[in-house]
Amino acid sequence: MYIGGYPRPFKYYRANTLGEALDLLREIGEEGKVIAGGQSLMPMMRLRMSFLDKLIDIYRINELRYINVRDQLVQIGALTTHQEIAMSVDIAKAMPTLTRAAWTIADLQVRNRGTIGGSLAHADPAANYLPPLMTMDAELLLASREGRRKIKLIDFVVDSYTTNIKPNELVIEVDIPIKYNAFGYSILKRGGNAFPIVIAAVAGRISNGVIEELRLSIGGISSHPLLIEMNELKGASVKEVENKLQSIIESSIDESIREARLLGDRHASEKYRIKAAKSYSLEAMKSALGGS
Amino acid sequence: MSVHYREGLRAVTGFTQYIDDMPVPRGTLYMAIVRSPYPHARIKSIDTSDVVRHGGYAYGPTELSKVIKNPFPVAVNAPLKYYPFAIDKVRFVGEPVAVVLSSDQYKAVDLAEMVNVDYEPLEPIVTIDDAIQKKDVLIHESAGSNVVMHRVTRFGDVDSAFRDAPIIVKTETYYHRHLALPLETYGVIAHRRGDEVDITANSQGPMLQVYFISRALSLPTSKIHLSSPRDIGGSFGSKYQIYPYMVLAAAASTLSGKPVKWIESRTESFIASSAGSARKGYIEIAAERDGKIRGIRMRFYDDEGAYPRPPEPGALFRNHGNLNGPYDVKALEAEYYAVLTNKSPTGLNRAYGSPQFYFVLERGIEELARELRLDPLEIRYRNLIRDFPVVLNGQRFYETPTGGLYPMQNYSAALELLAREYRRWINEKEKDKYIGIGLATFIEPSVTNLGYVDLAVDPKEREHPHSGAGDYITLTLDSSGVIHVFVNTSNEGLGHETSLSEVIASELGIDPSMISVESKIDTSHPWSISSGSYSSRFAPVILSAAVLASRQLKDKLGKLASVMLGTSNVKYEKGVFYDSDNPSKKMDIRKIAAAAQWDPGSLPKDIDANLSVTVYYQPPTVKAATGDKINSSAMYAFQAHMAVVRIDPESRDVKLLKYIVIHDSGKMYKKEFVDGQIHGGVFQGIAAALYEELAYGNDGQPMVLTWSDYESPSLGDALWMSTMDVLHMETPLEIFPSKAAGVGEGPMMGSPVAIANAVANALGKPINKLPLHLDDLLDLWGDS
Repeated sequence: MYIGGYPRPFKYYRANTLGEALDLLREIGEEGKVIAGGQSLMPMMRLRMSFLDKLIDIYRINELRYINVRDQLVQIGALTTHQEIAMSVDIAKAMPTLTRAAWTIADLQVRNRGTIGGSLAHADPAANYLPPLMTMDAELLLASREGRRKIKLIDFVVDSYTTNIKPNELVIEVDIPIKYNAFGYSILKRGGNAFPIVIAAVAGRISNGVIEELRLSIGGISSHPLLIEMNELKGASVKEVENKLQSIIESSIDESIREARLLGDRHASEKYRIKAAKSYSLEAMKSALGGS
Repeated sequence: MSVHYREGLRAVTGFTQYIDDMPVPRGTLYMAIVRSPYPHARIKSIDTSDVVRHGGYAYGPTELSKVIKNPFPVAVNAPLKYYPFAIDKVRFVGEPVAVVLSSDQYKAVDLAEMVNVDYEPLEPIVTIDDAIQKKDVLIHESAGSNVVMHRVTRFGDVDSAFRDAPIIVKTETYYHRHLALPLETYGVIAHRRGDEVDITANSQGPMLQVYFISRALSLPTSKIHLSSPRDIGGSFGSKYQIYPYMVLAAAASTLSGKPVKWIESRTESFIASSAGSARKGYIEIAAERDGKIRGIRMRFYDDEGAYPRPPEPGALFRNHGNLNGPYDVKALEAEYYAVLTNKSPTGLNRAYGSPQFYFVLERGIEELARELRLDPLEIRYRNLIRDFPVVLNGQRFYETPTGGLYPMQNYSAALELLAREYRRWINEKEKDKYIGIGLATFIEPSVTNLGYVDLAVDPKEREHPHSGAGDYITLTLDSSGVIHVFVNTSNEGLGHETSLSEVIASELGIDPSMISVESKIDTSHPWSISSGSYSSRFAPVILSAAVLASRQLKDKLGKLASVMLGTSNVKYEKGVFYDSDNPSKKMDIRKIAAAAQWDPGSLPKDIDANLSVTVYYQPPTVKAATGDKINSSAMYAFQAHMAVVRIDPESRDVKLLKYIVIHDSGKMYKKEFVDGQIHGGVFQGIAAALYEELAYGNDGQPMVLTWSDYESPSLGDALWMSTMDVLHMETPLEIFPSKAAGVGEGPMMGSPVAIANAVANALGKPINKLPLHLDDLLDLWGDS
């Protein structure tokens, strides 16, 4: 206790191909844990917060590292690193909030090693990716020796650090439809390594100054990121909405948090996070509406 | 002549040698420490049998007591015992209870989990108020109280200063527990061989370590050898308090018969290495209506953790000589309390005792300005010291009521330099209400007079006078003309080797490549109890010793040159001695050294062929205490800071817009090192004010176990510093051969309160408590 830095002994398995990984998962998936970039798992192991005795290293499965940007869809391999996503010009054009999310993860060393699949499977409530991906209806592709299945991200993430992945499954791809043209992203981080306190992402479709659809997602304040469909703004013009934005956002957030399990810690209390969520959501919303 | 940063080159090319890089003797075992999970509990039983069954060694209090026979000496007159491990009772989370050893580092940690300790939890004392008020909960039963020291010191006529004052302001402040954490943690390699013990550790100097180890292990100093690796990854004071772990490792080595290595983990560093004490402060300032201060009363309560571990209660007294700061005040009262709580013991920290102290004094000044509706710059200007009437060694000083000696510097000119920028930002504030401007003017003490710890004890009860502040340096010339320099100190990234080679090369007019420096601990070389790297003593003391030693070496070589050149009319220039009547007749240092070493037999009997010089330099400004008057530091230097902040309306967080430092630390040797110290000190002070706190919960559990918990700012949070201005004033301090004051701690002394003053100005509310986290800022903002 209190020593940290040295994990407990474990058995290490390495998979070089997807097939090998799925075989291993079928065999020992119940007792084993998958490690990709290790940026979340290694600290937990070193602090002895994690009790595992089998580790399956999938980091070298290069076939899961790619970014395909098609007409209506972005497909990202699960082992693509945050830095690769941040540097992708195609992603930046199609969905700038995903780029910003990747850019603002931790620091350069973490971004060079951490992966999108790992981040989503870990499901930290303050994960940078969750708000933008939720606003865009992202889906995950999961594989096991029994077959493949697709699941919406919003259904995949159940609660803090809890997903409905099965012990023999691996996240292999993230699919994001390209259907929006208005984006906003705003993040509050304090201090060097601290996790984000509030992340607000907006995605919407605006045509000829009229709002067709607008969605706001907030991470970092609750055990499950909030997704708010701004239905009362549908059909309104950007101009007429400008003055009412703040009060609409505040009441929407107040409504959404009623059922939520709120987060608070020494860095920022529940009360602070809710207040900041309102300010940062407004900022993200203004970017989305201003840019169209 | 400028020397390229030697230690830096070593570091970036991978040739540094830190404690973990050092080779270890064959058979070395790795130590892991079993630590208390309770802040306060009785130890009912300890079972180490599982460890032994798994092939490890384990030593609990019973075994350790056989080797660690005596407690460490403490500086307060309180009947309590401080051992480096818990006996019968644990008093803070992280207190060592047992140690385990294994030939594998990872296994040692696994084994530590196999030690079973049965505890009976007791109510913990967590705050200063609890320590004083909960009289039935004693951390040390034998002490009878959790307040282990209380002293009142008075100077000048405080009573009439207050009695007839038209204005009296009072303020209460709280400064938090903070440590400027270094990147490298503690490391020890201990080897007990028969009746001798060899300890290598990344300690900050021999200092009092040998004395503490000698007492604890009941070994004469003749049997103790201390050394350090050549490089230390930062310390900021924390690596002075490594001695309890040196003793634990030495004991483990004694009991196992094997060499023992221990490297501290980051979490252990946070919870059980060292910390700057939290301080509750009260200040009352009596003043005239024009703002001139008549007298000051101060009361300090320092939370020193579970044991008053030396050098504590030094944090309380470090600023005793400069209690009036840069202000001309002749009536002072300081009441000092050392309070214990169930937290880890405190100790040296960068700017030791000063961020806490200046937070009290400067917040008091701000309150006075507010009460009198005077501009904060103006009220400081009116009170600055302008006369330096005391003459010592031909130099002029101001003597403070408490015994401090400030060298003559132009404080008002320094503040005037700040005035224009100050007014410019006041203008900016009229356009942007979220801006705040804060000032701090203060005196930076450097070179500790070890005698100030005597203030912990009533003058009538002091046994011996103390005034240790000096240090040794040795210069030895080898047969190829290279000068080998040795200083018993540590090199925690301060560039000591580089500075020493530059200074000595400059004194002798030779190429720095002819100078080799070792600045590390090795008790087989000359050292004293004040030897080490602390209280910014390098430039005033060690460089002064280097200057004197260079001159002495030159004189010795001059005498040899006379003999070898056959004339007493010898002149010296840039490494060459020549016959002044016949300049072509000459010998350089290398030739003289070679001749003296290869053929000393030819030298006349009365000529000393000794090519080595050892100088001990004690600064002349330092003497033992007379009653409660003592010059607590050998040198003092003025600094003025201005911080400009902006409160972000969305996050309510504090953003730095501008920072200005004006200082006068006497002669500057390497400007880039001075700038580095200043930038680093300011950044650490900002980190302390806005981010970092070694916080404990109400249950006595440490809340900070990782860097993320500590909320430490990173380089990305420092980018604004490219607009930071540092103005150097250079009034040479002729009283020292180096003409320099220390410069390592000043910026950290004043920046926390400068930030607090700026935030107070922005929000229009007093800020008397640090740090300022997001929730604090939200509460202060209110519903505006």
